[in-house]
Amino acid sequence: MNQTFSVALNQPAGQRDFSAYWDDDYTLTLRVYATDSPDDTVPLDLTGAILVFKVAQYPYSSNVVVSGQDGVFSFEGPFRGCGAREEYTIELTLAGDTTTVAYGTVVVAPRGEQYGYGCGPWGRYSTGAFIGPLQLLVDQAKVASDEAMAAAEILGPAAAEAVASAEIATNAAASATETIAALSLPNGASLIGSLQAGPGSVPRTLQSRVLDLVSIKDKGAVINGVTDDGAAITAARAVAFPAGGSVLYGGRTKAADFWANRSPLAQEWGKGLPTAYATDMDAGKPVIGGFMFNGTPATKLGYDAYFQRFDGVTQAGVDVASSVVGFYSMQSYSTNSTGNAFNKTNQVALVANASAMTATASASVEAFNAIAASAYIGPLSQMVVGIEADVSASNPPGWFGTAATAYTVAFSAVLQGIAADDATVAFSSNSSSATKTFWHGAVLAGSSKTGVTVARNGTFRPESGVWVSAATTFGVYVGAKAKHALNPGSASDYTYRPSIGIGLGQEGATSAASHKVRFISTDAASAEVNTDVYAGVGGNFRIDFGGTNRFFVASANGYVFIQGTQVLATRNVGWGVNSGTTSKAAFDTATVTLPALAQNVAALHQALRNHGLIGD
Amino acid sequence: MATISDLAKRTLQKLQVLAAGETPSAEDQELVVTKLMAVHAYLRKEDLLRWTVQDIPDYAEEPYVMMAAFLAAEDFGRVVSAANWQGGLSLIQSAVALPNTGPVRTEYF
Repeated sequence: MNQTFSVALNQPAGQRDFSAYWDDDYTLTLRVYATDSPDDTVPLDLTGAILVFKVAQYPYSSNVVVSGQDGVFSFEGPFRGCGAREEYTIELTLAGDTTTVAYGTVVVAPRGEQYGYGCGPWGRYSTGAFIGPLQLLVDQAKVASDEAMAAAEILGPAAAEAVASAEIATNAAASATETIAALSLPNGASLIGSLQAGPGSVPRTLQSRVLDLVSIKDKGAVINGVTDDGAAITAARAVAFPAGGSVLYGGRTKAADFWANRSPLAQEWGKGLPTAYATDMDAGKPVIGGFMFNGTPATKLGYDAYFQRFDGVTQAGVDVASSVVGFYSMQSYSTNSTGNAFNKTNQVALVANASAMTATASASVEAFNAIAASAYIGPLSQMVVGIEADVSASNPPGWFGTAATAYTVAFSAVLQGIAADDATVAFSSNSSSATKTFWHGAVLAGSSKTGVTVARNGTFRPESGVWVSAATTFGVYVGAKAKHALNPGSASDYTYRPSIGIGLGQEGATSAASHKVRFISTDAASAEVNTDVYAGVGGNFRIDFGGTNRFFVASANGYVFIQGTQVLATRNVGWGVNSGTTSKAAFDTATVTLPALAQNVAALHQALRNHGLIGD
Repeated sequence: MATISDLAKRTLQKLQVLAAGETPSAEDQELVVTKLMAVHAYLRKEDLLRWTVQDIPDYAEEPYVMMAAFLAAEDFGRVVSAANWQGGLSLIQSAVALPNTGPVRTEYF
């Protein structure tokens, strides 16, 4: 005889009763579903599971290791006795967990031919003595059934639906209560999953995500600008940094140690290596990333927080193959001129600093330090704006070492002369002050070997103002208008007229167009007219005047010499103007008449006057 | 054994919503399945279940249909007697009662 049961693991153990003849071979098939739901149509694969069929008070049990989807028991009779009701259970051991999935009663039926003699080794027959009480129970059951039917007529389906709904609601409420209780525990976030969008995402718990950014509030920080939150900061860093996390601060965080009077914002990233703390140039100052620095200068002094900083620091004792580059910008403010220990002045600064650790003698040392400062100095309230690179040994900015000769490239541009008009070294200065007289485009000044060198090849050094070695057509092209208009005859024109001295070299020139020096009219009132001076073909010196430009020898003692002999001097004056007819016709000196000679002399006289060599 | 989908179709036929050979609409099917699951839950509550919803035994099929038809009648504008509910329930109760051991003879010694 065969019997098939189905049970669901999401329900309590199900009651499954069946009957069997006491001496039959019996096969019981058990199907196990995950849930008692019509959506769950396929029984669980019980391969490897262990099913145990147990009969209470009877030394009969059957273990079966399931080899397929259905667990199948095969029994060989007999049961204890015909007429007996055997209580049994079926236990399922799956993945190490043992669950009672079914229980019930086996009613062992006798066969008719066994009448009068029992039907098994432990045979037991019922007797008529039991019929009376049983009939009473049947009658009572019938009365109860009739009453139930009458009640059902009234309540009927509504009651059934209510009961069903109540059961569902009760189960849902219980489940929700358990869920809320679990999520309310300190480790509740560990029950919530998290998966970042996009490819490569790794499933994590919300608890893991929380550790990515540890707020100092998690450690009891108050963040009111008064209470010392140092202990909370230390505790937050101790948790966050070893796990690769960050620390989140508040805008009014205060601590008694290095955080005193500072108001760090946003987020702190941990140092790369533990030893970096010991070798950091500013040990103890953490890196703060933020985008706002909000303070009240009138009430707080000595702000000294790194607004945004990136350090590159090598581990102590480790040789580096290349320079370590770091960058940070710093903004500080103080109403006290000596209140800032870093630069001793009030300033707004952008500092870029790079330095290399000289672990070995061959390590290269390159550094760059640029400071853009806006400072208020003294009672004059005059602003200094400059860009400075200083590598001198006597005035090290702080991280450049001591040997100035170690630096092959240096640049310095400083605007000086705050109260006077005479800026000595400047690049691109500008002033809107009406009291200033000079606007310097660029001024180079030095005691010796100072200037600008432009060298395409070689190792030219500055020996003069400008040294040019270039393969292009024009080594230097200068085109500019003076700030002041040139006024011929004006004293100021001569005083401030710009002068340029240029030495040109010519190699293999074949065209008159090469190596020109072009003078551009600087009269602001006129259109620009060029005058080119250059070496023509064969080395001839040429001057090409443009427009009405003319050649002037301005000096009172100016003369023109050719091969050491004066050929032109100032105009010879005192000559009168001839009257009568002039003639340029040729004549024979043997036969010329006096009138014809006089006419020819008058023509020559007029030509010299027209060329300006003679005059009144 | 029958599935819930089979019983849903039979319930709709019993309600004369569905003629023989017709296929129920998804909405009707879903509604009747809900009623059948309500019957299932009620039987569990009454400790009368001896099966799972995937394997409703033959003797329980018609009681399910009767009881679900009674629950769903109003939704389809039909009138079904409450006797269907009680009758189905009685059939279930009877079916799951412990089996009789058969006639018992007097034992003589």
